[in-house]
Amino acid sequence: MDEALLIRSLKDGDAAAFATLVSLHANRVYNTVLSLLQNEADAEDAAQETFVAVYQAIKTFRGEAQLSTWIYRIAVQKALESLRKKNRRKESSTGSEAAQVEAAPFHHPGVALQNKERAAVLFRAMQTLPHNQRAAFTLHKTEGLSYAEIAEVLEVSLASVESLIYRARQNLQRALSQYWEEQKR
Amino acid sequence: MQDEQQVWIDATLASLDGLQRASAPAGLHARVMARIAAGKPKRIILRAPMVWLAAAGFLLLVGLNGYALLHHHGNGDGSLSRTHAQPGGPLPGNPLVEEYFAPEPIL
Repeated sequence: MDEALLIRSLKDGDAAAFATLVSLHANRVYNTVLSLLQNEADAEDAAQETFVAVYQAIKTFRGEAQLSTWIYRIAVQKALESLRKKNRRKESSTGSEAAQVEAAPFHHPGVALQNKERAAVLFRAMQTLPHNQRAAFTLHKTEGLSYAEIAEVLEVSLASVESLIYRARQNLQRALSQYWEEQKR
Repeated sequence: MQDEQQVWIDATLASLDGLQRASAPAGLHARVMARIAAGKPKRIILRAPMVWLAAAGFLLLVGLNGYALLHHHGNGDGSLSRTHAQPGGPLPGNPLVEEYFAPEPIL
């Protein structure tokens, strides 16, 4: 279905059009939120919330960006909201404001077998990144978005995305060095 | 040692290269629709008999309050007793009425 026609049908409340939209974007949304949240239950929840938000807000979609960009934007927002809520719950139980790291290693189902262990370490290190760096790095690495596409999703400049990913890599280098030192002890 | 560490770090940073997208769980659309339906506020439909019943109840309340005002008065000790209204004038012994019909002070 042509995107303009799909959008028109969605704005008219066409149920079949919404089902089409979900089937077209389900994997994209789920993969994004899963890579950010590193938890299948949280990711499913965030994916559902994303599509509910799309359903409720489609009438206000002006078509200035592509539909996929807009959906990515909502997915990232929902995932980061979920992370903030989770961190607030953990803060109140531990009293600590330090970045909250999941205890269990996360194994992304799409990682090649030979990279599984390293990828689990990398995902753990990604949990220590500030949210904006984490979002930019995740969209680039797990969704393969270009810097220009990420800039549209995050509504920042191209220079900002370059800076975010550069700083993310620097922070990850530091975290991985620390992990290496800890393993060697 | 430093080279070995850096090689490992570089390999780890590259471990997501060629990652395949995770597939959304089955039934996502159905669960989304269930959430949307659950979130809609319930419509309350007012039927004509309910409106008439509410109006009748309101009138009854007003009537009872009016009756209470007309047929009860104070005894000077804060208690109330029944009395019959005197036609054509303010009701004697009615604290509410006396307050408004009190004689003007002599200056």
